[in-house]
Amino acid sequence: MLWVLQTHPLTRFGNQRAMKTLLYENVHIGDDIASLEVNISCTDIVSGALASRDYSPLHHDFHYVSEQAGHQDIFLNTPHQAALFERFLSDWSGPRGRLGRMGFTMKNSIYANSAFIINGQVEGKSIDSTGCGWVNVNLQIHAGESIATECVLRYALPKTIYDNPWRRRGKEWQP
Amino acid sequence: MKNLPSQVQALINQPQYDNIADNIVSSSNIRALCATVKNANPAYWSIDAANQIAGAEIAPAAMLSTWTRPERWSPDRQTEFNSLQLHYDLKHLLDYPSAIISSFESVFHAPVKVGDRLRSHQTLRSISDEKTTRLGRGRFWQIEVQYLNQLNELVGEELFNCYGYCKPTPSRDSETSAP
Repeated sequence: MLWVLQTHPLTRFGNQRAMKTLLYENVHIGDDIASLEVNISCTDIVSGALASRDYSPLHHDFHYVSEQAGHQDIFLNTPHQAALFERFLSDWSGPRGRLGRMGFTMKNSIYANSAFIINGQVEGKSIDSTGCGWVNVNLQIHAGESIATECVLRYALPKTIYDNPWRRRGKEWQP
Repeated sequence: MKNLPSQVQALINQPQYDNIADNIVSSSNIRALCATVKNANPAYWSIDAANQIAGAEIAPAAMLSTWTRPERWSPDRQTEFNSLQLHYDLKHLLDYPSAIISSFESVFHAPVKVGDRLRSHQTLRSISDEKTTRLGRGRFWQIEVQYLNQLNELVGEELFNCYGYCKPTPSRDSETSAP
């Protein structure tokens, strides 16, 4: 799939490269989003848990999880998984994509020293009564042969190079 | 609801645990999580870019629950407080040895900005009659957590679908539901 990306002059700043912008009109129902392969170390899991202020021993204490909690190793916490999904969509859309809603079903734990793939598909698109363009996206974390987590998201994309969902406030933002 | 303790009945639709965050929303936490997941979105790494994109330094939506998680210890707090304390209260009040969160949904309203101090409260929205699932005999409940900023703007909501249960005993019930 070749994405048509456009750059508005306002999305250029300093000496940094221009930011890409995926427009609503260039997304179609049934589109696949480019997969992302992720390798997770113990350090990644502890780093994600600390950054999200989650001090549960499930995410840093191998002896606790293996001897008392019945797990094979420490595993990813929920905000870490949510942050991976948000990064996945931001890589796809550029920074003007804005998350409105995110629903999770966690089926299996994702352990330290494992690899997984995030896949995504566009399941729907619509324009709300305020004129905001929305896409419905399904994402999955595939770990080995099974799906560890499924996520359904409602995500706003700019309709034109002059549109920006982040500038919507109050009644103009209906997630 | 059949045989629902009055203490639990009284919790339905009554906000609990009005919790003001110990800390303000911080760019160091934001960058630490973005570094962990290799999120290169310039809105989280450059103040200029953040201002251009969102009109302010903003936090990733995925960090909503981060900002009201308590410190592990505080001189002003004598008892341990869990960010989803109502879930543990229900497990205790209903005398279920186990309780899981099977799924949840987050809705993101006004952007969370660096420097915001959020507060949250938790509300039991519904609880089922006792059912039997493959996990055991128990009840489903839904807890809503609302997050507001210092201007009392709603910045986000989370709806947790939970199941508290006792491990199965043979040939007790026939009614079965997921999970």
